[in-house]
Amino acid sequence: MSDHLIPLYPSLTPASLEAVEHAGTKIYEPKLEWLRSLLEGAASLQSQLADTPLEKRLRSIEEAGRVWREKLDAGNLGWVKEELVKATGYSPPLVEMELEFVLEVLNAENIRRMLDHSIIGGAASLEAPVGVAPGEYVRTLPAGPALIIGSGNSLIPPLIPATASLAVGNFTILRPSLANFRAVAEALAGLLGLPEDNPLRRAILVAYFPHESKTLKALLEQAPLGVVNYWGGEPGRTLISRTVAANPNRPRFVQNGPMTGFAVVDGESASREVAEKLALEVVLYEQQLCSSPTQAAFIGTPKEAREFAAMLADALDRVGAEYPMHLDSIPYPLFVLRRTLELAGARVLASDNPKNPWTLVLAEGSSALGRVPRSSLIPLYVRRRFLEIVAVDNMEQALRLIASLPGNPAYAGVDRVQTLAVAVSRERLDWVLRNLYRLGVYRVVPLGESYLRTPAEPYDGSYLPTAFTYTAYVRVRGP
Amino acid sequence: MESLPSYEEIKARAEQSRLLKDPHVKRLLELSQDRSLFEKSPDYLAKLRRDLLRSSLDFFARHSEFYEKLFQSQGIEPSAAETEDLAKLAVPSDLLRGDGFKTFLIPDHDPGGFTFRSSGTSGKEPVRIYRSPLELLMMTVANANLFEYVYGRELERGKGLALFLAAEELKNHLNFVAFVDLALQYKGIRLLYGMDLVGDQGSGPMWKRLVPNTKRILEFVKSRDEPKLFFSAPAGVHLLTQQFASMSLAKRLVSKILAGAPPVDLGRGGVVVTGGGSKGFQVPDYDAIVREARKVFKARHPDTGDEVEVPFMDVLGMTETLTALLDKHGVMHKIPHPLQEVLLLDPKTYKPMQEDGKEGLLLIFDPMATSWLEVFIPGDVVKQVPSERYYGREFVYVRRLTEEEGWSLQRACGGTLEELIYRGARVG
Repeated sequence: MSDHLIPLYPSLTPASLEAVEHAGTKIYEPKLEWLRSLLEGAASLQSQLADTPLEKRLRSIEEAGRVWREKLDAGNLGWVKEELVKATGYSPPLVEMELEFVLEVLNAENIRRMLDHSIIGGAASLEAPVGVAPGEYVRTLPAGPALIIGSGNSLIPPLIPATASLAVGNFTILRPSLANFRAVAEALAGLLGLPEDNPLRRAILVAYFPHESKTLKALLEQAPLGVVNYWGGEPGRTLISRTVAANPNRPRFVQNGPMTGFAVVDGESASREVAEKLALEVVLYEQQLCSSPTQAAFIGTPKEAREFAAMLADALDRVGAEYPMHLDSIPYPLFVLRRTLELAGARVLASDNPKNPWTLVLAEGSSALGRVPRSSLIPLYVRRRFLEIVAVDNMEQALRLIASLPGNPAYAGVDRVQTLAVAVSRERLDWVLRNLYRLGVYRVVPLGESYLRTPAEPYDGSYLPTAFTYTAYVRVRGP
Repeated sequence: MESLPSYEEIKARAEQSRLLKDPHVKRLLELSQDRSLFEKSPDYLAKLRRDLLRSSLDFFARHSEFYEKLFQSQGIEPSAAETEDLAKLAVPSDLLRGDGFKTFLIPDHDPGGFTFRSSGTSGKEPVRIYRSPLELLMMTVANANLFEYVYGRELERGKGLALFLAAEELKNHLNFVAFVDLALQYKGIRLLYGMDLVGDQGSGPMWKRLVPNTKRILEFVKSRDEPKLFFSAPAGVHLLTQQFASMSLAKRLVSKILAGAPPVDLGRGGVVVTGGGSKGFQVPDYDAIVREARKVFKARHPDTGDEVEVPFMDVLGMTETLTALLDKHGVMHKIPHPLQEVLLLDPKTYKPMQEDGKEGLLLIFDPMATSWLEVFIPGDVVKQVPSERYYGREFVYVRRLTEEEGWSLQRACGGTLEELIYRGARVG
């Protein structure tokens, strides 16, 4: 971890910053007066952004990606990789993959496709009114200034909303977590290299504010913000929402809470290939994504479930070895949980390799994790490469597992199942499609693709750019 | 509050145990009292323990569907079990908190026993363990025999005086205090408790209600009975030492005249017995405690009466242990009872390990437990070293797993005593 954090913004001067000590790190926090002056000029800046052709805006964002690519190719981002490995616990190969993903997030064409799919009238409505009916027009306008509060410790999650906010023309304040701040700032640092007359250069401030920061509190309570987007769960979410509610400027509060993924495999579809795909889902991002499967339903006989679990165990050995974890020993709490489950009658398959400490729990009918003493549970977000497979008889029982997951103490902190990854017969897939309204999930994807997100996808039930925009409607009558 | 039964009550109840009809249990009772075990070879005892392991697993499978299923699921056939199989069965002590222990009790366990518990000062539910009268009897005699082996000779019945720097009420909670109390009853040696518990439960936590009982402490110090056996947590020894060492010359003289101390003369065969390891709560290293204490305590050779350095014995035990591990400072590292199986697990993988001198996670199996299959992991890290004694190995205590490592359960008896004493009262 670095010993100091400096905000990213082109016109920063020492006089505009205040140094505070937090968690052993010196934080340079923008002073409230400076932020106020910045926000007072936000409307003008957003006007300039709106007058900037969308193509130019997107290419400007992509320029940051080009700078990132140069640094990546030159080997200048080793420190970023090292910091993220340490902060996330992810394997170096996984972090390397994430560094590459930055380029996809900052890619102009990807952003345009996202906007086209997201906004009524498509991306064009960001530049001019678009006809949606005879004599009726809409134009999409930035709702900001936007304050994005990120959590977590990996790189991509805070970049996605920040990019969306910038693309639609908001002045954006991005507050990453302490763990990923420097990496996020580095990813966006290329914007500082834009020409002086390019408003994108001044459109984003990346700064860290400790949770107890008075400046952050003042921003939330008083600042002329249009949108506050919070990523994370309780108790921070409630605290932030209450604080924002007191803001006389009535900013829109958009929250993206913690979720998890669920996999369904049936006996007809079970194969080594499917096991391999599921193993990849378990290993990638150490199940930290909101889409990562943390529980699975196997539709078939107990014998078939055991056979599939054995295949999955082999696959986890192979796939996990490609992404070694930075551990020297099996964590003791994990050992306790495994033993607790065994003593409770569940079948536990587990690796004793600290570099690939996967765990499979096979239960019948209902969650075994839900029955162990709470004192033995490891919080969901601490469990890594850990999958509970529940053998069930049919899709109805699988649905009950999905519905009950948020209430299972072993999955505490999860709002709901976000992603359902399926490897089932066509008949069962049709059942899923007919019963989407009962499932309550936001996505249904092929097993093995939970972590993939296309530009056409909404984010947790709604299109992310709409969180940072509002739609102006025009109706004209002919003479 | 449930009160610990007397030794005589325990003995009477134990003799009525229905489980004694089982040849396995009857054999255990006989072995628990067998002093000749301490003269057997390591190989002989290793084989005996393996036989007892197999017999125990068979016993528990016959008496409990829970254990039968567990052994099946872990692929363990009792008649072919090996010591390494214990790693598959060991219960992390965290699972014994609250009513957790009830999961492991066999349905037909003997009634009329006693439930020990840790103090709960960690803020979590205390660890609790039920001991049947038969188990209490075996615990008492086996621990007494182990004590005498480490002490170096048999304690003469009814001879000597003991002081435990604890409140008597603690014997109704803490395993260490209880087994010392019972063992001394068994030997007919009078035991004084050097602290009192004041107020009721509503007055606050136990550790805030301990005060020294000066009268009893002085009775012990001034007594001419021999040997004098002083039991305490290391913290108690440390505090007492500090107080004597910090006395002015004048106070020393007055104390010497009135109480005959310092130094405290423990007489022929005198010994200090500590419980809780060498790295307790805010106390110096154990070696330092011993070194400083020997300046204010003295003892005499049991045969010649010549003055010698006070022997120090340390007990590694906790709520979950039926028999403890004892050491003698400078003479032997911690050694288990001949019947207790001790394994070390690799802290990286939790698989059995055999290497000498390497840190391992302690695993204990005590076949004398008949109410539950007592194979558990208390969360202590130790090293094993070769030994010429009956066990073939001795154990050097290293540390407990840290909170970061995931272990939040403190040692239940000695460590708790240290905290109780250190926080609650000053001695003298």
